[in-house]
Amino acid sequence: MTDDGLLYIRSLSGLREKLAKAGRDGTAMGKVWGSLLRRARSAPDAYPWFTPFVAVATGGEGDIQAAKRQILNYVATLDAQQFGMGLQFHFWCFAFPHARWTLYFHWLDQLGAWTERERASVWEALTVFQFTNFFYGMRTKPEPECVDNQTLSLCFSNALFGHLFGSSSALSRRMGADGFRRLPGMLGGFPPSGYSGEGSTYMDYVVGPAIPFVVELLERENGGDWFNQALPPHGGSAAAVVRMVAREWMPNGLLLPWDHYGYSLPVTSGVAYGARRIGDPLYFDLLENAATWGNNIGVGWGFDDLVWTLVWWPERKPESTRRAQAWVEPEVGGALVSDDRELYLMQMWDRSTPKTPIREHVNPNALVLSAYGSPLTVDGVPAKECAVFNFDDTWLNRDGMDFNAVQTNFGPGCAGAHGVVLVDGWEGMRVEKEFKQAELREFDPEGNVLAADVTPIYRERWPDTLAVRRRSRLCAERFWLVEDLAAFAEEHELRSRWMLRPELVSAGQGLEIETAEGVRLWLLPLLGPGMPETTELKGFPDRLDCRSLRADFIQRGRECRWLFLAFPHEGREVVEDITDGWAVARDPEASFGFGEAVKALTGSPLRLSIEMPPFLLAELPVARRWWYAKELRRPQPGRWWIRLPRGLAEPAVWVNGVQMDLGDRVKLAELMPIDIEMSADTVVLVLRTDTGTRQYEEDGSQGINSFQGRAASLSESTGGGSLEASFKDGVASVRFGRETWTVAHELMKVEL
Amino acid sequence: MSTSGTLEQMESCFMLEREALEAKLGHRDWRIRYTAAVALGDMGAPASVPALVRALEAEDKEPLYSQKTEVGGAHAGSNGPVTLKFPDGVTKEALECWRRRGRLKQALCLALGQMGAAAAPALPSLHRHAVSQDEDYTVRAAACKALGLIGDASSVPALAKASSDPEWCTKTEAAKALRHSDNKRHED
Repeated sequence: MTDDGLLYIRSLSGLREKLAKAGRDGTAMGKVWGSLLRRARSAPDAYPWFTPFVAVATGGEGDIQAAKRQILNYVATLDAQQFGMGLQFHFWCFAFPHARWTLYFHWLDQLGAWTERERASVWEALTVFQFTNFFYGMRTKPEPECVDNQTLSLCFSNALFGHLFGSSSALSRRMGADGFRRLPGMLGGFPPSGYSGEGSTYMDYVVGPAIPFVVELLERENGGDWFNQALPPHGGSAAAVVRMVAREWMPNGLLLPWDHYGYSLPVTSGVAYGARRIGDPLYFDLLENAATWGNNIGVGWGFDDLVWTLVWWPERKPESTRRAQAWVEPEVGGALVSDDRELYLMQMWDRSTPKTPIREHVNPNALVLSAYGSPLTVDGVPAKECAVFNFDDTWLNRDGMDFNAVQTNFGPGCAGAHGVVLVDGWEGMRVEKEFKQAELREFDPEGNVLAADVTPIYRERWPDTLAVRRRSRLCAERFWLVEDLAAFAEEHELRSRWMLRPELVSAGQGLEIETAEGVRLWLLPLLGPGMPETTELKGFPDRLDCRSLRADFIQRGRECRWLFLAFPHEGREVVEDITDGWAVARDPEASFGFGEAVKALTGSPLRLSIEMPPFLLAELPVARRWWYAKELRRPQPGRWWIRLPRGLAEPAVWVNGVQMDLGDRVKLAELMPIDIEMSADTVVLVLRTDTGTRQYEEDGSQGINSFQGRAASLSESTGGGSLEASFKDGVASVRFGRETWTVAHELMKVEL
Repeated sequence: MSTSGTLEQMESCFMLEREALEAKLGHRDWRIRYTAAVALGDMGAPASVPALVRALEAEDKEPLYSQKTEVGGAHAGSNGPVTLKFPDGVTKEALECWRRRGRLKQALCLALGQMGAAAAPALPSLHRHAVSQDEDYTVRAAACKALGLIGDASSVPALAKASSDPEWCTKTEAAKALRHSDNKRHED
């Protein structure tokens, strides 16, 4: 604790000085603090998770009273929680936020905010609830086998009680004893890669944010460095987890769609802690240039990511500007990144769960491709109504997740839902037993090569498997070569599957897609079958475009080989930044029609940037619906588009008074900046958008996010053309427009 | 605002002698019973086995799992107002069962496990709890863990069955308990 006694805040005066200076200097940290303070003060009931930090950071009596009220509101829910399916069957989701509400109770206690009666009553409620729910929950999780976000949350919550109250409470000491005993094993139980196997969403939203709490608590309790040291039983470390969290942040601003849940927006507190403890410029770059601060994403089932970002975010930046780029973890996967960070390839071979791969998917050598800010491949889970992966042999009765058993299909976790090699049409492919499923074969960050062998995972089902491998290359900082090899002693039908974003532009010898952001990808087989079998999948993934394109390149034989040229092209380029100077009108009841909105916009004196919701930028009322208008001109001859910020909710757009059909882009806008093509030379563009105004909706569910980003005019990029490519005598030749490349490529060998 | 005194009684469980703790297993408030079971497990006094077995049998008779649907309930971490809608005629006693479900049973099973071989009289009950799909998995897993700690050869069939339980914690504890039993047999 600090001299002031506030756990996790090393110096209260230092924190206050840091925030004040950031505000004065107008830094990213200052903007975050300003937007958080404004929300907590103008709508404390809507932003309860911000209020305790604001109370601490300002010390103002009004802020302290607001924070007390939010904690008392939380305590008032405790009894009701016990009748919900959530607490009874998913208790870990309640343990982590309970720990933080308790921490905030402690902060206010250190500020002298509670009367004796209040203090005793709130402390009793929090402690009894903790012991009967989360001590119980922690003891359910097998020790030491269970190492995941759930057990980490449970162990942390019990350790926290021991630390905060153990000196005066036998019950808290008892909880703390078990929690502290298990926490080192939690950190050490993660693989040395830092990847828990639960998918990037759980890694980023729970494990990453939990790490600082755990590390700081262990260091305070035991002394020493609990961040860097590799711990038993598996040699995991907190530093490795934080590093992996940062690696999951793609250059296109999204989290990797790794294993489960698909593409998501990153959170920042784990990265801020990485900036503090590791200091690599990458962490500062992510915080200052890539984060979307209007996010309302639950971290560890609470909405205080921005609070902890501000707590951990160091003032002092490193002098070096080197940023981490390519990476590999031998047990997990790796990434190749172009120097300008425009081209990104991630290849994964992480362990999948035997028998029922629900979280840890079967994805041996699946690829994630992204170019010029646009995701090109998809992964994740389908929408509920999409049954495309409900394979016959992947149904499961899940007991213990609800008051009654629930039947589910784990097909989305199996190989058929991924861009991998499939054998004899078995889409439900998964492993039965525990064994080493894959192996890194090559990683050359200078030569931009990445290869892994996934033979064992195939050999379990097909004992005649000789080799299944994928080798990916980033060539000339401009395109990828992807080679698949599948060799068996007997003949099989083998398909190299790709899961791509729409739209399909053409298919024939290979295929061509164009994403909603105007990025094209040609996938040309230089070796192997040329004609793909393509299928549009409606409802997969459950986000982004909510549909995708499955392309299978099928051949039959004993030794099959594919060599793909994956060539991306940026079809649009930014020619003018149009972020500033929009007329803005608030729609307080979300009731305006277009005509009323135009009147409001005409009469509005507000001229603001469209970079973030108005009430995050200035002292304005919190409101869900806003209207923007701006006159825009074609920036240069030819086609042109308007690109709007990322994270718009239910957007609607009128151009010269005519409403546009945004189609898929309404959903896409949640995660990506959306482009709208203009036709006239001069347009008045009117945008209606909703934005998050609270951390919980009326029904208690998570509130919607806020938008953030630059708006721009785009034109068709120059330098396009037709693509021709061939592979002969170990050389790939590629011609695009007037550019040509030749790349020597030695094919993989089947070594027995 | 005032305290209910529940916490004070729970705190006191970690300072009581065995007989007094055993008496707390009959307390009307299940939170006190739960804490007493945890404390008795920590104490590890074999003489407590009969009291623990009796408490487990008493809990078997309670309608712990009679809640079949959602009645409301808060979202994780939310501090907003919550509205609960209970079925007509539900009693206070039933609501206490809904609140605790398998909590006390888990604590009793684990406490019996902490008694080691002295908990042999509890084996039939633990075998039943380890494999019963009518129990929450929190209880099945605890029963399996207890059987592993007790290490009696008669538990092998129940543990073998539990090792293919659809729920991960249960089958993990069962598999571990089977390994313990194997090791123990080889040592013997």
